[in-house]
Amino acid sequence: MAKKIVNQIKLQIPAGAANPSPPIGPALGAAGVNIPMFCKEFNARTQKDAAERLIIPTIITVYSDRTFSFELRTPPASVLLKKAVRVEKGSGEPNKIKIGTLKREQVREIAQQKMPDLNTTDIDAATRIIEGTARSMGIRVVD
Amino acid sequence: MRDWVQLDALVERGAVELASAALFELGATGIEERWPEGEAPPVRQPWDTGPPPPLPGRVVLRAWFPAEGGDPEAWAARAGAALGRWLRAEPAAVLLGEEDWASAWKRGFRRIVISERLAVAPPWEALPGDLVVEPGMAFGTGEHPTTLACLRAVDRLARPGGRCLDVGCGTGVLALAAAKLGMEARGVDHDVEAVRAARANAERNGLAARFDAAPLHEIDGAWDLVVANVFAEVLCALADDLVRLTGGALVLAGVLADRQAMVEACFSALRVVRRERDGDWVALELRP
Repeated sequence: MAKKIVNQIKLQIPAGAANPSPPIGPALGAAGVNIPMFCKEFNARTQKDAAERLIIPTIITVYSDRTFSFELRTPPASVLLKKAVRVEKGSGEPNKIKIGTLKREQVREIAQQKMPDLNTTDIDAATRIIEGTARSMGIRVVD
Repeated sequence: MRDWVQLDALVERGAVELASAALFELGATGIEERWPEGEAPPVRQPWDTGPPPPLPGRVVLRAWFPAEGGDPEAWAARAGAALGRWLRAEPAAVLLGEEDWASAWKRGFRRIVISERLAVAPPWEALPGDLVVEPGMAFGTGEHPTTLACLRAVDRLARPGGRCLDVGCGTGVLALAAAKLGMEARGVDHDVEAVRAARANAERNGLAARFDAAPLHEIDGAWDLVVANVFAEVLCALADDLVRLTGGALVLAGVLADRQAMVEACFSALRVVRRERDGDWVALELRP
């Protein structure tokens, strides 16, 4: 079908927990997207991360007849890093207050998981990106 | 009814991830990333070539918090403290009541009458005898000018007992319209989501149309009616197969007016017997 795109909506929502409440209801309702269908499909596709309620960045493409498609991105690095150090919150003062320590190998594993969405195909470059996020959250990275 | 605080925070694009994490730590149920008013880059269409437009350097994070009788100013202050270093403007928060979002999206969908014998409608608008199509994850509700042009063509060209092939079938609406008008219909789409939706629509309407993801070169025979509502570039790429499969009429749609000449050149093996324009879109009917 000749699908003309009219809108792209970017949401960050917890895996397996989509429902018509905000942000999904207001964001998709205004675009005329079939909200129950989106919720059902999203929850089915993100079931594996539902227990941990990982945040899933999701891009919904809305076409000119208000039909839609969506793609899922990997959870944000900050979410994966907090999970790895087992803390709920990042540091408000990352230079002074450290919230945990990770081995570079653990950061590399997160980089590997994030690779599809990072602007590089080089695992060392990806690891450096994730290390930067870790430092700005107050996570120490050691060898 | 529950109240919600809707909070907008303008942050640098590079800070979206960490600022979002801070908003989730405050209890956000979810976040929408929006471009600041007037800064949204043009939407890139599947047929656009060339480099993508540059993205704005700032993003509005619209976060939502469940808040029974909550004070929006208190939420704005809380977010301001949590996001301090990433903010490019003070956060703004408003209190909103719960709405019936689960059904509000249905507003605006309408029943589309093609002729006395053919009308297409979403389930909640359908009258007895209508072709019912659920708007969802496959294109083709009948609203778009290209789908409308094809529906009119199917209505005009369908002959009971004849065979119709719908190429790039989306929801299956064109094949189902042909089936409803007495044709033996088949729809193909490389998108499995579309095939699934089309089969569900066939079942919903009690119509015996076949839908699958077969590539065109694996399909044989001369079809009385072939409909292809895809892009100009895809039509040209499929031209040899579409010409081979056309036994009666070939309807091409999804052609932007500035690509009409290109498409007609790709299909020079057939003759154009009808041209229909609706806004930017052109539909062509061709015959051997």
